[in-house]
Amino acid sequence: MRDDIEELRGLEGEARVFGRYLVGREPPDELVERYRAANAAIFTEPVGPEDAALVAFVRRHAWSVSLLDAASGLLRPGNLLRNKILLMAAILETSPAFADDFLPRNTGPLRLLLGVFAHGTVAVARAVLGAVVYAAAIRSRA
Amino acid sequence: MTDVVIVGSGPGGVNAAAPLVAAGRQVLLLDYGNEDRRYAALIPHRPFSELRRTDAEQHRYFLGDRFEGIPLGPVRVGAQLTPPRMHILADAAERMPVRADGFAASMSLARGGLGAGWSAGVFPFAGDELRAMGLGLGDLRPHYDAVTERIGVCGAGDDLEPFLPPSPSMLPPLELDSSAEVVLARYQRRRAALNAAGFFLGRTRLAVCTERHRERGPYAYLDLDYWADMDRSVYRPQWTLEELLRAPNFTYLNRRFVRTFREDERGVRVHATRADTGEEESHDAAALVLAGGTLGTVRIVLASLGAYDRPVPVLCNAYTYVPTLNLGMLGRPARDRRSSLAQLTALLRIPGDPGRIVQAQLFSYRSLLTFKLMKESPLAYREGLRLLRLLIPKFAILGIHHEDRPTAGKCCTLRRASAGPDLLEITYHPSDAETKLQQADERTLLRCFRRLGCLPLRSMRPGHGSSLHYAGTFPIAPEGGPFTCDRDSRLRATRAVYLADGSVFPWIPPKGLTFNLMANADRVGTLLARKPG
Repeated sequence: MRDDIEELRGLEGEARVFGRYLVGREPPDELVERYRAANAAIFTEPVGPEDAALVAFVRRHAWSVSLLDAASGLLRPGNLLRNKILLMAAILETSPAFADDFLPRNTGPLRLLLGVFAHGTVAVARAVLGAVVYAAAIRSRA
Repeated sequence: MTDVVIVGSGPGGVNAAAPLVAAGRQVLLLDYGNEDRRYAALIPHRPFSELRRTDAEQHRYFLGDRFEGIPLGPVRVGAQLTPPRMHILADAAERMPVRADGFAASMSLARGGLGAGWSAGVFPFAGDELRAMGLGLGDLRPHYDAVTERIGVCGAGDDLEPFLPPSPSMLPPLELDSSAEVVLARYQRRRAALNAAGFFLGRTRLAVCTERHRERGPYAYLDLDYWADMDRSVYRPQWTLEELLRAPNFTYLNRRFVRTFREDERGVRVHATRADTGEEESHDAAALVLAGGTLGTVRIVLASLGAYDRPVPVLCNAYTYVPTLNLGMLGRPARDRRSSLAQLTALLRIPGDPGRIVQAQLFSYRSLLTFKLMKESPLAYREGLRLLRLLIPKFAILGIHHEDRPTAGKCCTLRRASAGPDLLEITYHPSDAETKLQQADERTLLRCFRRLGCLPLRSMRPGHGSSLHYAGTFPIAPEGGPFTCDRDSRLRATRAVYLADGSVFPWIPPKGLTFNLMANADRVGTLLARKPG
């Protein structure tokens, strides 16, 4: 019973961390609840130790999500952490309040180039830093 | 007595039924008939972007009530089968089990069959492509025309006409989206050089009503084609079924799973199981038309003839997706009014290999949602999302089809099960030479697209079977054994069993089969209607 409550709190925390990470603001309770329901429906298999350690690390250290996501994208793209972030992205994308954060944008060529350069540079930097944090996270307790 | 029993309400079944019913024959159509009863009614008749900003219920049909629309594994076969379309594959794997190493076998027990999620591309075979069946364009042309009128086909007379025989009753083409407009304009400027290299580009011919036609359409450019059948403007076999249901000489029985047939001097007896009660029943007719889809029909035929453990050929067009960056869209806004259907079709004559072609369709990306593309990017999702929002309007996605011909490595065999349904075993191993040839053809094609400003980013091969164009199990051949069909699509091992789906095509050009199997089904129905009762 206590474990269940802790897990529910953990999922709620994940939803809020992933929402802030993806679109810069916290999702409303309704979307947090949807995230919990989706977790129950989708992630039914037993979790491996590395996946469990990564998710637990993010729950304890919310600041690490961007680094671990970036590193996972290169090291283990289909891991549980990435799948959970993607799930939150799907839930946010299909909510009217966040639609504009996901709908494609028309931009001029200069802005496009600047955007590609800036986001690309940030992604690479995060992946490099993230690789270090990743190594520490998978050794930490689940 | 029933004149003709037809099995399956997919593109073949309903188009075989139409001429029979019009000729006054008593027709019984047996079908499993799964339908979507959950999502269709939820989707508002509003443009995609407006609906995204306003509809609080959108998560139900975009993601599914059981979140079945969130693909977390590798690239899936049938990515266009969104939650409102997933009923198309429901129950099939349990009723018709398949063992296929490295081959995606998608079968349907839906009303409309796989046609209920068809991407509506219309690619009639040319005369030289029909010759292997001992048929000429003259044999199929009237049926191409009849089906064109029945289903509503839009298109334009353009550079593709030598490859795709024209039809007199075509509706005006769909409006192009901004990305395709740019590519077509570039092609017009470089046309002479590209044509000399064997490359031809034109508007995709589509089974879409751009004007009001048979109580359908016109197309409303809502960009919801993967999710809903708005205004019924995109053709689905169910629309023909609804027309047939108005005829007094047509009977439709659904929730039936057909297992076998048996012939005697009086005609054909079809054995079926009622899906809901498990009760066995049989239906008698003078003739039987099997249109259960290639992988459905092969089970019925082999089980009926007791041909277990006997391999028959199987074919499926190889398919590759290539996302490209359309440089012509830099600095141009993408219009909101658009469709998700194929915009342009390219055909490449392979230099130095007369008669061999490769075909590609060009799509834009938007309505399948951004998170699905994020998954394919190795970047951190936050940066991936921001980049994709900038890049999606500049993407042009190519879907490349290759021809397929029978070889020793491509076959299927029915294994008798001691309990439960028989197992269909599919072996599909194209030779290294075939695979290398396909990759070389793709390189040639992509060079032409580079000249049109489309820079390929990555080639994605969802694997064998992913085009869903299954064919070739009982091919029409001028002469052949019991497991081939004669010119009329009659299975030679039988007296009055006709095949009206992909089963009869001895090879498949890289064109998409659906329209051709509809035309052949119309031909089968017409031939049977003319036979003395």
